[in-house]
Amino acid sequence: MIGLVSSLLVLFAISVPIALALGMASLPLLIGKGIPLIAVPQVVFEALDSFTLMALPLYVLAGRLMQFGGIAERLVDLAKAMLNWVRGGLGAAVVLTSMMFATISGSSAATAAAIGSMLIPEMEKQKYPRPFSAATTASSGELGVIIPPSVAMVVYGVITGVSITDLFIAGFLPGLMIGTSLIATVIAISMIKGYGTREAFVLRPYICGVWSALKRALLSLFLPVIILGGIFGGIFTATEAAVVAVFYALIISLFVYRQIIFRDLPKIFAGAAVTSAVVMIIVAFAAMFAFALHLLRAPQIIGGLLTTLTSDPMMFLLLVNVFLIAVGMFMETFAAIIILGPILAPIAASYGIHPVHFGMIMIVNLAIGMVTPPVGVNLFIACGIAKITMEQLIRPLVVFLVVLIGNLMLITYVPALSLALLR
Amino acid sequence: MRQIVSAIDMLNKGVTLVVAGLLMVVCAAVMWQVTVRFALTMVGINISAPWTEELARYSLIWMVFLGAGVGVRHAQMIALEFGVRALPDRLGIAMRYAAIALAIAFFALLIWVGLKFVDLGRSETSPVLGITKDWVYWAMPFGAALMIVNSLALVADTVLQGRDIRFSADLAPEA
Repeated sequence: MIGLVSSLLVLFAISVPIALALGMASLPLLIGKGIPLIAVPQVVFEALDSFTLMALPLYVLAGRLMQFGGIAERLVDLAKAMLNWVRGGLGAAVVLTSMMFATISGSSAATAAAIGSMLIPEMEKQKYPRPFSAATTASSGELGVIIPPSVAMVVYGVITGVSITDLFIAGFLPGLMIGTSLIATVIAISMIKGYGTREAFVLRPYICGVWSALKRALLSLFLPVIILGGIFGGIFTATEAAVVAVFYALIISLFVYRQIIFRDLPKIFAGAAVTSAVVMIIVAFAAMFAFALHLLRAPQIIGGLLTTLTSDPMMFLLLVNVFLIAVGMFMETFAAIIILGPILAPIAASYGIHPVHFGMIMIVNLAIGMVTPPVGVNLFIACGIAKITMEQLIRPLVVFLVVLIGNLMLITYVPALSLALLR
Repeated sequence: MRQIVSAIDMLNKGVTLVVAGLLMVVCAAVMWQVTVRFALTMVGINISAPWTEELARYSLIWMVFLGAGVGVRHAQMIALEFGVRALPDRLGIAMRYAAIALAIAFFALLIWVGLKFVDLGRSETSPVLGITKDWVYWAMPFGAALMIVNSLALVADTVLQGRDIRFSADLAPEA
């Protein structure tokens, strides 16, 4: 097993794509055990031949359609109208919009990109420092995979066999909590440092403003009702809800908002397809790696080692969290979930941790990995939009990271947050 | 050389359209399934469409291999690049090329085992659509071949433009 893991790490280090490294590292073992290589395509096709996995490209696509089709824009306007009377309101609107966006889109990158590109320039006009705006966007973008629906949960569910619907339901309260605490953080920092402007609060114009934004956004807001209502009510599976979201977003962007035309569609679909394909190819070859680990009885061995280290589930969760944060700093979120999920989930179960709760811990933890330097997809996106370097981003980011890790600890040690809504 | 690279990019344009089309097929098929299951049942029409799921799954498999194949052209396959980027230029670049060479060898292996699997698939029939499974299994050798072509195009393009191979992912077109 040491050979398997160390060859994987070497391949990662010399920048072999993760999907291929997983396949390559498994090869010597398969050959050594005398398993015919025809097992490779067999395992790979079996992993991809899944109706559940189809939810992944569909949620990515829904996110893109929202980004380009005018839905994101209307959600932004609504959040701004609701929050313009507090200092830091525009920054808080970034978080609030991310939360609304996250109830339709399943992806963090799409959330950060859509909202950042609209609100970072506006924050600049209100004299927010750009690194602060970028840090806000990057950290609230991670809500995309925590508030249901979520691509990360689809991947986790597919790979560990935990019900995706249950994971979606479990993500609701933690997502709400993280969102609220981020809003509080943004407002508190803005008040202390005097960022941004505020408008005087006058009841009538305020209500009029919110009302007209609400009317404009009504069709967009109906979308999460269909998706979440459908999933929670047990009417749709995750995949079915995803396709309904895609068609709803298509129809209102094409015919109601008319912000995209038919000619734009190939580009939007191609973008979503390639983005999803590079994640799904990891899922495919991770199946090969999982097969190799299975041959070595790796979960049992690692589990055995851990149990000699600690028999206390609390301590185990702490170790897992520290380990995952370290992994999340360097590894892409989906890759980490795909590689570590099948190893850690059975160990957690042997400690008596609820599988859905453990899934939430892994997802929330690795979502923070999207915001931790040096490798974090949300950081790259936010830096790109705000045109700042990663170094400039770090200082304002630290506060957000502390808040996020605090949330993670609460989610880890208060299982009810994840499990209360489950039936 | 330059002409070859632009010919490959024409090919990629075509494949990208196919990939977009495959995602459209997935959407349409799953949507049709949902419609049949809910809407038509509600109004009392009872037809079932078991072919939708199979069509969607097979299209998805092709979409993954072709999409990843196109992604290779601009090093979009997810990799941990900060290591080689942080190393001294010569060492980092050498490692990056070594990684590409290893990847090409792996793609070649995938073509080889993939073709053997295609052979097996000829005698396997899909339960609903009734097509032989080699139609599905071709996705792997075909995708792997595209990945080799695109790896070579990436290297050729980088050398021609005198760029640093480690940063080619940053130049990927906005998707």
